[in-house]
Amino acid sequence: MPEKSRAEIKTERVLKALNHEEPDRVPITDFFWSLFMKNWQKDKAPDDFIYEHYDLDLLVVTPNIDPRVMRSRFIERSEEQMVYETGWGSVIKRRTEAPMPMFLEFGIKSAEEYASFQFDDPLDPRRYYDERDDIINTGDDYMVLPSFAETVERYKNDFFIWGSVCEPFEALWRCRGTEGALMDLVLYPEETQAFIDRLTEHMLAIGKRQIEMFNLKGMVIWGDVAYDKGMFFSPVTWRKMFFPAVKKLCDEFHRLGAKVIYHGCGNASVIYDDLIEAGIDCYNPLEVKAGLDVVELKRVYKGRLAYFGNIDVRILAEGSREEIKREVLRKLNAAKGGGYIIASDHSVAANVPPENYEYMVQLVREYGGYPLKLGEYDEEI
Amino acid sequence: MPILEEISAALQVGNGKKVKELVQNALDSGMDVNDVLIQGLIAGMDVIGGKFRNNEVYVPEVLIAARAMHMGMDILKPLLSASGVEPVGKVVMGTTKGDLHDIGKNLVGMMMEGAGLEIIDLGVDVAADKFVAATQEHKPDILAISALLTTTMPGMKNVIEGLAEAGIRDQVKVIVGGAPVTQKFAREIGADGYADDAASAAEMAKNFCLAAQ
Repeated sequence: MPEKSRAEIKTERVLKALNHEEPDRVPITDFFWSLFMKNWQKDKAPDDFIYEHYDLDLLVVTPNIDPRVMRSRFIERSEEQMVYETGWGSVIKRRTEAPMPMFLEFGIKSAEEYASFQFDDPLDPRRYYDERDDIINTGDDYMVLPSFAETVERYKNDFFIWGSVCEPFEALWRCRGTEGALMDLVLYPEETQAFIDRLTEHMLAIGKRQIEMFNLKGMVIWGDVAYDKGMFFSPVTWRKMFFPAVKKLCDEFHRLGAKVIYHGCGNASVIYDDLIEAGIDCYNPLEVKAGLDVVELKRVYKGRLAYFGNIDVRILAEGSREEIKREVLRKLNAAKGGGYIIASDHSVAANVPPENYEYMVQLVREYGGYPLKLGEYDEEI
Repeated sequence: MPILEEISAALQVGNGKKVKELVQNALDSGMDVNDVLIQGLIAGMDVIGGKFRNNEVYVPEVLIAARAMHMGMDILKPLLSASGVEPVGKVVMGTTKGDLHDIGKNLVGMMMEGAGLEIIDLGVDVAADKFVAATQEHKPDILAISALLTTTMPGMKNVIEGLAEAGIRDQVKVIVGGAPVTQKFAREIGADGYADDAASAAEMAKNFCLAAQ
């Protein structure tokens, strides 16, 4: 039998974990901000790709999922800041020192404009074969990335590659602005629902194309519907207006043989049962500052929902070695019986010292092999 | 239903047009402008704030109620200043340098306005020296600083140090909040208060102002 590629080993490992079985070791991956990457390359390995260097398991790639297929149109570009229009119709200001962009304007300015907002073809080859701005994920820097296809091609033998799409609320606020979108859900539910349905079809087509063209076995749904205190809007509204969309995405992706990870910041635990019913296999990122604890969640949803994340970045940024060790080893309890991909509780930003991240990886390598032996950090699950 | 309760009820469901109409009716019938403010608009926002804290209503309902409040305030503001009614206190607010998120800060601003405080909003991505300059200029009772990111949160400490350097630290109460901020962090950087949510921030600011009077 031919030897398995690293990607095949990782795919098997992650799928086993997502099926609530114990693989050889606990899968690990993360999302890194570009300014962290720069620090890391300077300190650790100037020419290395961090996923390669630490042999991480999953790599998530996003094609151009914007409503309009266009490269960012620069209105202003200087050393300190840049202002540009995106394929979402929004105008973004990005300052070199500010880690996140500021939205100056949105493509849709009132609920009446939903119906006339145009989407370009979700199957347009440029979405998959042209260089990408990746508005959703570039974080603290403006970057032009190689195309989706080129990225998948380059890494397909090394990592378990996941595609991704947006869940409709994430897509809705990017078109309309958070405040406008939230008020529209209550004041103009019909117009907003019609637009949500169009967004869902758009994302569904893009997701299916990724899976089919590139034979992917996993799809991440970027969806943000909560903040640290709970849902942005009523769970009743979510169930009525968004549950059918998430279910449709899960059903189709599953039908094509892909597992589904839902990425949702903040504390959306009130809808976890609904997400399970919709078909979500795994939940990311479980922010500690939103009161989420993967070990406690594991006890509640054991065998029904897998988890990905929950290592407190505040501890990675400022904690002592002992604190990092306690955080990592205690959270590894959630990996008992599978069902856990270890990662930070959102992403690794520039305030995390590279050696602290490296220490986390070392701990996972040392203690993350099955059967888990967590010593003084062991807890009953 | 008495008209002031009607104003409060219309505000709670976000019916700005009705709030405006009722506020005008109340004034036309000879009611005191301050009573309309306190027992109508502020009372309504107080109910919304409590429900928001208990997860009985969510961000959209607060945004809609605040918009209705502003429609009522547009009528009351000129009359309040003409009659010499002073707000409960003055708040200068903004997000830290590098932090461009403003929904949380805006919610706090709405709740504070709803508690009868005057708000001077410096917006997002505010450098420490700007907070200090605005404190010198506006002489607020409260300086409220927000951060969403762990990477921008340390900017709060710079503001407090800046106030100390300018010799005005004791002239203003500094309250901080935002997802990554904790009571412990607030204490470590020498803030006067930490609020866990928008309604608590408004209550805390109001209490600081009342205690000083």
